[in-house]
Amino acid sequence: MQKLLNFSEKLGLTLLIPFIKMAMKDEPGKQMIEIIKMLGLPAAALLIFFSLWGLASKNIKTSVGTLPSPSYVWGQAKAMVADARAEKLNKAEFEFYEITREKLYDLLTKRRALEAAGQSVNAVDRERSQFAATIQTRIDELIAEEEALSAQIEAATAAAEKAGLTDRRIAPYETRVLKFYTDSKSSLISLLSKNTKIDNAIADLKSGDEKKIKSADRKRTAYENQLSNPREYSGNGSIIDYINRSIITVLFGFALAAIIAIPLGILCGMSKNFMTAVNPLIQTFRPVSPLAWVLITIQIVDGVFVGDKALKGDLINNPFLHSAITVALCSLWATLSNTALGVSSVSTDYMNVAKVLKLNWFNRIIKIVIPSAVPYIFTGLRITLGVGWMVLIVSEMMATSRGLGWFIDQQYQNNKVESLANIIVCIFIIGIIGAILDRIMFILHKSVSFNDEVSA
Amino acid sequence: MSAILEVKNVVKNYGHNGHTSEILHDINLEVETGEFVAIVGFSGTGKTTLINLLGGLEKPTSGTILCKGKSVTAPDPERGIIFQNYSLMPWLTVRGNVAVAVNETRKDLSAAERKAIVEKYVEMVNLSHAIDKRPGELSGGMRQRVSVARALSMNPEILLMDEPLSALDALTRSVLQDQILDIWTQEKKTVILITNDVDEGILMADRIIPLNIGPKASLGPSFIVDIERPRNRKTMNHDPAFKRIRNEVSHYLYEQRRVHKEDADQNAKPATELPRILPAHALREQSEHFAYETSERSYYGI
Repeated sequence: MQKLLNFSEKLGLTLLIPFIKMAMKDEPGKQMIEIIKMLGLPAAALLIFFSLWGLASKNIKTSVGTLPSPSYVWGQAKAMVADARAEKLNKAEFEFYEITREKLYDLLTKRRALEAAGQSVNAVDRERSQFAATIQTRIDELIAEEEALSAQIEAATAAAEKAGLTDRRIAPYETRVLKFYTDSKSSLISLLSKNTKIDNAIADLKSGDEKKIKSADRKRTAYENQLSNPREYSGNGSIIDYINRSIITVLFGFALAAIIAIPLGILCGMSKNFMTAVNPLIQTFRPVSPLAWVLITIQIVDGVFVGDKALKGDLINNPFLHSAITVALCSLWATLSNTALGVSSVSTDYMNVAKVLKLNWFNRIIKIVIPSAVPYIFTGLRITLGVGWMVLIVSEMMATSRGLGWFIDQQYQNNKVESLANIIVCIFIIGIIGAILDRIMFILHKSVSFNDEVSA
Repeated sequence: MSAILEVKNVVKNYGHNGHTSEILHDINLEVETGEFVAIVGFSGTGKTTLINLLGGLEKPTSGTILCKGKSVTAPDPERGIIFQNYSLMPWLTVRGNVAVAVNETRKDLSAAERKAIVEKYVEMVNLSHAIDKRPGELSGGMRQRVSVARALSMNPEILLMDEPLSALDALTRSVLQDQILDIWTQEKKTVILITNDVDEGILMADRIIPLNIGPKASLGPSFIVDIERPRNRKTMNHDPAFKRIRNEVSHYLYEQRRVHKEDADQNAKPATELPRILPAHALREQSEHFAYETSERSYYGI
């Protein structure tokens, strides 16, 4: 119990402390009051906030309609979650289709190779017909699921009509899922039919009729070619993808910032001359807005990775670099100056010890200077990550890197009340992720500092 | 026995170009091998400057310091320093702090041998149970013991201690005094102990040298402590030799202080004349301060 208490104190989870103390029977009455305070006061503040918001939403007219109320935004948040689930399902179905297609195509190429070598194709054909049977099973499953779901939707619609809820929209999630089932089913059916047609063509090849053989051969090649082509995934991604991408981008930019800022900061702290030399540059670039950085970054990155050299990965592409580099450029200054401060303010006591031990220059840096500057460096890193997360959103907007910033911009272009509500949901998501990132850095900072001077 | 450390006419100034102030003036000292010398003085008299000079952390303005006949120009592990504020690396464990010194000064040994040395010295200061703790988890006394272990692990010929016990409470202090004495008897190092406690000096040292009040501090005459070792803390208070030396040293120090004050009073001239205006709220404080000062004077009989 005591361990758990120390652990939560270390993590800054002040909320847990009274609960643990209560479990330890340490003045339960006092802990109860503490819990009520800790839960009740924020709850009251939230309540006031949401009622003010509700009030405002009735009176504020935006360019696309009234400001969405909290309940509307909540509904939209749920819709976004449903969208994300639907998207996940869509992707899973797409991947299943692609795997199936590839397997089928593999078997067909194997058959061709065996034919060319004049070997028996019976084993491959058997495997292919077994595989066709499994595809058929999957199609049957999909039909069953489709029927069950459409029955469910019908029942829900009927119930809504019975209850007099005439304008009840059928949940978009179920409808979308239904569509995915239908689409997936029909693509698998077409896959299977191509397979059958190829079989027919192969049968025709043995017929002996020269004209028939020629056309069958052509058909077979055409179908096989169709099977060889991978399909492009058409989904736009969901909120989960945007969040993941944003987090990866900010971490990449953060790492870049750290890699640049920490060595530079150490140099600045070690050498007064170096600091004097670069200080004007630092002071000039530090206050520059991300909007300015992102534009020049886009130009430079697109100039370097141009044409064939352009990065086209799902994750690592040019827009990804634009936003990550902008994050790094805007956020590295805090780490730079904190590192410089930490290094330059290393205690003379430690340096005296180093002198008595006759540590050489390199060892002085490695064994004394850097360790003693670590808490400062982490303070800087914490600020850097915070700034980076703020900068990220705007840089994603400008760079059209498909993260949260891009999504917000898309919603803005949509010009609808739902989109406005989506933006508000994103604001909450951004805020919560930012707070979590800060908490993680706080814990890291606390774990590396030797004196408890970390502020929450 | 020959002098391992010789200090000749050392002067130390701080500041430049006309703004210099002379901290130490004409310091002369000879310490023999294996000798335990205590230098006592009031705080602010330049004791730490003296240790820094002996250690080589600072250079004298004029005069020479010879260690084993060679001039001291830079710090060296052969003169281990135990700092007043411990100067432990807070990010390292006890083991790590001692290991830094051992690894640096005994590069010729294998890793296992160095580890054994680290553990030996940690054991010597009775900290084996806390060897993997960080300084932040240790009490002041324990930290100073780590500092002692670190200084000893460098295998120095001279141990310079800069008020090592002044920040500790009386009980811890006496325990550590005994420990340091034990170690000294075992290791037979030459020790120079700087302290502001006359009793500590008499208990531990072979010779006590007062440092006169600065600026322009110089060393006073040596007082030989001819009390047989091992010295017993409990019975020593009644030992006539102890009482005599204590009286002599204390008397010398107070006399110094009186002379210094008289000098200071005669030469007292504020650098710039300040307007004699006091804010109203300061008036009461001033009178209280005055009362305190007079009582302090009467206490010292000055």
